[in-house]
Amino acid sequence: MKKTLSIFAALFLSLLVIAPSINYSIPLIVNSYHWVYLVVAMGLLGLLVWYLEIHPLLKALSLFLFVSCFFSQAPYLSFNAYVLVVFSIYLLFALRHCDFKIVLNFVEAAFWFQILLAVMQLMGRDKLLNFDRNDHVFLGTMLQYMRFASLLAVIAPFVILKNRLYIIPLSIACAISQSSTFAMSLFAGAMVYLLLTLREKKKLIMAMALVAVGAGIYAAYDWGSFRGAIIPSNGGRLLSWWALLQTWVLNTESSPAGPNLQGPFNLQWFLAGHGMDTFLPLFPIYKHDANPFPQAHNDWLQLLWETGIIGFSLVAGYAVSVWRKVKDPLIRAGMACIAVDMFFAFPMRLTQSMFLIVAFLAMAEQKAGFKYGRQ
Amino acid sequence: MKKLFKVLAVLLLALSVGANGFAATGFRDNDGNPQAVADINIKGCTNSVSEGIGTIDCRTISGTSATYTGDVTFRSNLVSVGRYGASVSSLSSSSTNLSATSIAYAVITKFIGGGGGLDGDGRGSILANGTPGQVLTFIVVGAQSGGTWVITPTTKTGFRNLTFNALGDQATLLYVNDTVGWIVVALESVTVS
Repeated sequence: MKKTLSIFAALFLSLLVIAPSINYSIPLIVNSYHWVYLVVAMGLLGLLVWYLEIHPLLKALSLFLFVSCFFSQAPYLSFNAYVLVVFSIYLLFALRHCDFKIVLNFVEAAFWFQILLAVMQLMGRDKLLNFDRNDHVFLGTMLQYMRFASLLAVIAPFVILKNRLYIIPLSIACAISQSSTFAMSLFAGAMVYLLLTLREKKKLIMAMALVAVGAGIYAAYDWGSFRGAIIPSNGGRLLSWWALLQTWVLNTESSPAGPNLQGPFNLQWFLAGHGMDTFLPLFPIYKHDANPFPQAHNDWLQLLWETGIIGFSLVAGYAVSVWRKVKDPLIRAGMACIAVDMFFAFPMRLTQSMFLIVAFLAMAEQKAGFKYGRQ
Repeated sequence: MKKLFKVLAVLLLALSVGANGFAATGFRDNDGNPQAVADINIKGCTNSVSEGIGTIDCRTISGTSATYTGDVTFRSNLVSVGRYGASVSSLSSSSTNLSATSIAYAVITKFIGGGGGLDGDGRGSILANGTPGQVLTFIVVGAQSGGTWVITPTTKTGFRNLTFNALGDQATLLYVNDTVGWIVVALESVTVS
């Protein structure tokens, strides 16, 4: 039974990893009878979570997110998103009972498939996705270099758990993809691993210095990517994040456009956010910019914007709780890698990577030996 | 005899309803004498209107060739047979004020007539303010060539109107609040201006 469950779960994850870009949408018309029944059923399953043996913060999160849908600025969008939330919680519960050796094998295979395809694209020999176009690109099935690099950053902890030497092909892939996000994720993971494993001060200092030098060399090599992310004239993220924080708590709909938006403080938005999945349609309105980033390029801040300080605290609290309990340095390094990727990209918004993150958390809980009271 | 003929003439006039929607009728003057009416103008009334000595109730439109010129306001729960397709749109024809708050369902299907007709260029639907959080999806389920359907929300941000002109054209709008109004959430083959 455990093996069958593991194979099904692993197949599901790996098939998603190699899927071309999918826009998640429920194939039901909003407010049709079937859609309403689906949402109602998810609400029931969301409450049933209280009877599962899962982390208490996840139970609270499930209830809070369902209630927050009723206060959302776009309830239909939030109820749609809640369907995925409930599915993710049950997936995490199921994965905790899986044999992760099988899961790691499937993910490793998916990783090599992506690399193989990307190498063919780099050689101009892609006859599958870019037929008859000889562009030398490194995009995998994601067909967009930043998203592909973000996916590799989420896959990285899985393959490194199989074998630490995977840091070599991952570093090569990072250099080819020229993604600053991928680079910072790998460096964060490496630093955490070194801090946790090297006890001798001298060795630790040497290793960290080596990593820092490597980071410096990469930054010089890929300065364009860092520059584009920071400098406003290049569409920098820092300005966008500042606007995000302002529009999270201030009602700026009547504010003049500019870097310092104005408006009255909104307590509901501060506590519970604007509503799940509302960032995309509403942020341009409050930022007074018809063409900002469609995503925040920061999962943590977007979580804050959409679910408020309460939702953010529940998710962050859960992550910290798992971090503190798990002792395996590779798992902790993997969590750091994913957390940094979430800070500069949006893997939680991509179907290819969001369930991988859920799987990693399930693996972390399993390794940490989480035991919840019998219900 | 003369009186009889006058009554018969009035009756015959009343039975023949013209294409321009005029109704022939008679009336009695203050002395009780029956008089024939040659010309009655029914002004734009929504329920009923008192004109002169009586009340003209124009809530019911009958006949197969009634024609009105200019913009006409329909009640938003009126479902009519579209000009095209002999099937039912969940919205009446163009030149319609849509009261979003009275539309129970989020999906509106529409048949678009041919060019130059009621659903022609520039003749569309005005979408009134809705309820914060309300989502509406408009889908074209039939279209004659050359015809278009234009939706212009009263309050909106980021666009002026939406133009639909082909089968399958689809748009989803979200009503944020009375300041921001309607915003576009999703589009498929719809022209936004």
